[in-house]
Amino acid sequence: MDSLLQDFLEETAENLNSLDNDLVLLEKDPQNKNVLSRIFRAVHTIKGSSGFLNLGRLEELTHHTEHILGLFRNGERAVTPDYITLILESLDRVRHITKELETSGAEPDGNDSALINRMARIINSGDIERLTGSQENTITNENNIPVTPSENAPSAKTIRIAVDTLEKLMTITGELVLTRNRLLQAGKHQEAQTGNTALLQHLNQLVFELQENILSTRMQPLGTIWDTFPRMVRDLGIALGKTVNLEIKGQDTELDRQILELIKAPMTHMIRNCIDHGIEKPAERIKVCKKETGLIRLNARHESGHVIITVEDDGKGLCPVEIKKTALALGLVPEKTMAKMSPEDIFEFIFMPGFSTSPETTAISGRGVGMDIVRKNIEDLGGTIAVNAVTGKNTCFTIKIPVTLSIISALVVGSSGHHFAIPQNAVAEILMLSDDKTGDQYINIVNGAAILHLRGQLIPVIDLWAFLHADTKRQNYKNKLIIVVNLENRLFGIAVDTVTDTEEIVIKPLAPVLKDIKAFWGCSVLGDGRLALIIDPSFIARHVHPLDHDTIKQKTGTSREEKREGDKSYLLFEAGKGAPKALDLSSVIRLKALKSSDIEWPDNNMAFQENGNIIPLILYDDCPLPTEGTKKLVIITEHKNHYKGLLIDRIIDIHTVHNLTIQTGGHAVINGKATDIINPSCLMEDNP
Amino acid sequence: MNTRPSLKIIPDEQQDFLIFTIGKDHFAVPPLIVRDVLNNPSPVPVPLAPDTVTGLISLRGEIATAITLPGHTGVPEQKKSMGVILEHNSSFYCLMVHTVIDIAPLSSAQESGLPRTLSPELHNITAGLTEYQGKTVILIDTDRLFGDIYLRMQKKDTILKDA
Repeated sequence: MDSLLQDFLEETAENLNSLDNDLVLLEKDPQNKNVLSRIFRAVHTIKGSSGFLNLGRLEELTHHTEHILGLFRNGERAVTPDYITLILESLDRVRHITKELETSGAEPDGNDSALINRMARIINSGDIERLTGSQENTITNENNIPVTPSENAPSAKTIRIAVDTLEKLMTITGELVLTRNRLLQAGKHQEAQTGNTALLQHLNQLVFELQENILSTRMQPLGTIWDTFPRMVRDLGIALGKTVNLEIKGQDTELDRQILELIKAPMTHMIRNCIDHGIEKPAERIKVCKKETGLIRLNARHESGHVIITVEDDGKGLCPVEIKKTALALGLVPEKTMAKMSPEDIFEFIFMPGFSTSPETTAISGRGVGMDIVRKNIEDLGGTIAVNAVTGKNTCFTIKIPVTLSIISALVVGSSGHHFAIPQNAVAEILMLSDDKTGDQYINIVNGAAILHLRGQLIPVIDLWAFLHADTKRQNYKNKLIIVVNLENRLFGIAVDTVTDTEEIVIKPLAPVLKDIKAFWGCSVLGDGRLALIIDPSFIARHVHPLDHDTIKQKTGTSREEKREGDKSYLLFEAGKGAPKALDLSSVIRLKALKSSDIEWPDNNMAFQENGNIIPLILYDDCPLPTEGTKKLVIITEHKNHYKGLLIDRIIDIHTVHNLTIQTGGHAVINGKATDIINPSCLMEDNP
Repeated sequence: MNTRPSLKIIPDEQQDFLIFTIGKDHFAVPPLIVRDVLNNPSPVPVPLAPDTVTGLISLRGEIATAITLPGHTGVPEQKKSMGVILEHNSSFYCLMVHTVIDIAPLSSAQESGLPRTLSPELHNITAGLTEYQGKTVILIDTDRLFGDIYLRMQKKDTILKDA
């Protein structure tokens, strides 16, 4: 049966039962306005819903009943037992019809005209006929109505439970899970002696099932929040002069009630964005050979403990050029960095606070307040959001959120003797680093920031304990395990001392006085009874990832002030005899110390290997070759995707100069000294 | 879980109090908000928390936040300690003390009678003074005690807090 109809039947059954009681109350106390308005509301609800569901008989019956009640309310008629009888009779008919509805799914054939006529008559005349026994019989026979109300109530397949009761059940189940965890831990040690393994296993299984079922009581389909969207899309479309269709799939996908409430606002915001920014006006759409009517697709599905929601529109997509322009204007990143960014990275800018490419602000959106909040809301739930777009074709947002917030699977780690839990779904891999830097995995500390080199990737790493104490001096990466966390392609490492186990843990909120500490989701009691704070990975991501909201703004804010137009930074170094040399910093990729054994001679040209690439080396004529067993610094430079290594003796400094005048022969005065300015493009030729 | 209001101290009226010591000083709280007393609790520290929060304690599945009186943050370092479990706004707190002495009726002096020599930190959270078996006892206003922790949290360096 249609779920709407099912809901209506249950609601009506409840209303009818309370109506019976209230009418009796009203009969005893005709002046009681509260009861009267309660009755009025209940009848009105039934009338409204039946009208909505196109149930004509019910609507007509309740319409007349409501009319009589209206007369009471206005004081035009006094409440008498005769009226009450008539109303009850009408409600019995309603009850009978709903009973039929439940079994057949449709209103039964039949005629209520006699009853309705009597109601209409008293409404018009002000007289109420004496109801005789015979009349009652004729009415009863009209449709063969069985009259005992209790038998007629639709049998409930669902019952309503107070949310509080469910929450309490959830808490108790949480406790049970904890107790089971502790038992399992204890069992591990005693297995051999007690022989209770089978019982423990059984308990484990039962608790698991109980937990699943209790969790499912909190689940509600996404449809409960999506139901309002078609109307919103229509209204907004009309307001903006656009025609938009909304296609919804997967509205049956279930989510924890709590999460459902929290994603409603961000989702509403995204759909508004789709209509306002995404979908073009019909005329524009026709110009680019698209259907006049725009399309927004909402899709949801389950995927390994997560719900994936996509919001897609077939509008104009995102324009990387415009985003770049705006990002540069806002000074979010230097132009140089921007040039190297992939389209995906560029799209990330739309999640920055205050970012909007829209030239005008409309009533609906365009102020640039929004996607940053959307991302924050979703990350607060332990979810992620990513965007993909094809310019001129579509924009697609993908949201990934956990199904529930109450119990999560977590990796239990130790740092400085304390336990912490890291949500399992964020963990990409766990590394154990060897002390020497021979492998392709090692950590370098650059100006207090640790960088993990992992298979050619550079990943920021924090030492958990030092990070939580905001003390970079304490960081130590010797003999540590590195948990590599992947939050929607933002990678970072967390260095810890030990990794204990993965456990299903119950999240307990921190006390109100501590809720400002955003680094933790809460805490949990572990299997062995110890406490562990649950790390919020998105909090760390916000602090370490170079492409993120708050930090980058502050950083670029200051550096922008210092940097003027025409400023250029040079890397000053010594190589061989003669004047110090300078290389435009933008052409420098990185520095590396080369062992003499690293230098190879393919085709009699000097070169070394890095990440499987062969990089040719350049040596100044008067600069000595590294002797056996020593190291030499090499500057790795890039020009138009060609790489070369420049062997040097010593780095002097990095110097920023304003409007440097380079004299003929490629010399300039930097830092009061005549310096050779090296042209990066010349380096790429065979002889420098 | 029902929240029970913490009792305001009514002057010139005898009322029961839970009396405990921290160092040489005697303190008292109204016993109505006391839920339990623990021996040698060992709180798990919470990084980034204000200094009067010494950590978290597991209390039969509930989590209690362990706190010290301001100016007495050294308490957990003492070998022997006790925890007085207080309930405040449906949350549990564990006040770290040295020894719980007694539950006894005390009559309290008014707040206005507080000597100015009391350290400002303690002055903030004191409801009044009284005496118990010849010792001066400081009556703690628990509402203000929790308010004080909250203020400390607000004042704390915001580096690691989100905007």
